[in-house]
Amino acid sequence: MKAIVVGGGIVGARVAESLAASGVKVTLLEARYFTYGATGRSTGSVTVQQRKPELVRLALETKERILAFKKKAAEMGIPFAERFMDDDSPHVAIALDEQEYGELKKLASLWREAGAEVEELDPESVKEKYVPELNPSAFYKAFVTPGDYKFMPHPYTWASIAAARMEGAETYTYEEVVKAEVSSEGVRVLTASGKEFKADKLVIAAGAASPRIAALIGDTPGVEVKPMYAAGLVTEPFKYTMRPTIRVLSKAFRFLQTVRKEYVATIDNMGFENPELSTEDSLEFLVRASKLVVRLLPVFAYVNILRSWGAFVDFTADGYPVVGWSTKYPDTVYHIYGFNDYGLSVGPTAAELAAKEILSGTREPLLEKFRPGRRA
Amino acid sequence: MSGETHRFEHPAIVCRCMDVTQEEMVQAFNAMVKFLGSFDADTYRRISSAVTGFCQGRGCLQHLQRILSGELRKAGVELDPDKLVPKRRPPLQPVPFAVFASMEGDGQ
Repeated sequence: MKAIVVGGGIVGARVAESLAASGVKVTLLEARYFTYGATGRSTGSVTVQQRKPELVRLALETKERILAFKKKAAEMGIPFAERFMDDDSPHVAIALDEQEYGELKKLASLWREAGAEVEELDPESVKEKYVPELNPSAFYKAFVTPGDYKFMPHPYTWASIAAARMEGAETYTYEEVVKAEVSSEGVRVLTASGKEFKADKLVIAAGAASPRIAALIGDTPGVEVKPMYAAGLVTEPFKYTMRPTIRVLSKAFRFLQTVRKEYVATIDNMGFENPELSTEDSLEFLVRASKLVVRLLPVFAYVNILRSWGAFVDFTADGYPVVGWSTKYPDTVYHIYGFNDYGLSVGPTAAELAAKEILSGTREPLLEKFRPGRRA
Repeated sequence: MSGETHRFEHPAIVCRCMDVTQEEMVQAFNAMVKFLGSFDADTYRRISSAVTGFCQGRGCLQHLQRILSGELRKAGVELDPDKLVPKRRPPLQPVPFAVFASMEGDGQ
């Protein structure tokens, strides 16, 4: 079998590597550089704090899968395997007021029912047990999922690409797909530089750019996929002391310290589209994120922000990702994108299960809710 | 000396913030080309860590570009000026959270 994977982010890289490891002849096409897009702009947080039980179940497997691949990559002599900088990171979901507490409590029981461990704590206990820097008078309650995890998305994606290459895959950067055709003989793809690629299967794993790739062959995800504006910032480094990740779900806010020692804050959905990624909008992000940081963690007031960035994140109308065979070309084209704000939590597991489906034609029960063409 | 890799007796520091030497920059370039087949400054910045520290490249960006273009020339790869410049991002210089937190706007 020959497959073309479009997209060199975390999902495309994992699909490509899993297929290559099983003997598929893979060609990976990335329009920019590897991890460009949502993968490289994420915090690297892996959490069971999801809004759907299927997503919780997939997220529960992610840490083990990352560790298994880390071991494999190290055995293959891939240098990036030593740089995952992964650590356990209990995720602290903060309810700012009583109303948010009511909503979080419902979500927390969903996490619990799907098999995750969840603790409910008052502000003083969160401070004492998890985050001494927190200001306990700034919030009402918190739910902690102690089994969560964090890692660096760049080395993980690079290691996947390196392994895929060692397993026979051909990979290309700065090759944007501009034309594609599906026929009885398979799929033919043309890139902006004029290169032509042919294969039996086409895997669309291009994040926010995926609906555009699907449109080239007259295909569609079925469900609405909207690229929303997300943004992040990074501070100067300090000694590594903060293991947990702090979240305010109502504000799509995440805050953590990486093992590389800097602090990263993101707002995973600013609530609007921002096709030009304008500077005014990065200022709005910086103001919004800084207000939350200083309110919840006043000791950070004089910590310096060094850099900020924006991203397009592929949000879907019903909150599920799009994973499965195309409705238009069910034997040739496979869709995998639309990972909302949980690409790092769910993406690696979903990608490895998808590779299994592509290889064997079987159906993974955990992916059934995600099929293209479903009704949202 | 092992003779396998050339070691500088007095290591030349390329990136002071992240403490990256010339030798490590060359190793990072070699790993990038060997394992990823990539040649662009954005990937090089992330793999080498240079340009990612407190000064965000004020002191070392030109060194990163010098080493990248030199190594590319040695490897016989054609230089693409667009891929020698990693993306610049705000703020222009380090700004504490308190400054943004005290700004007007965003009732969130």
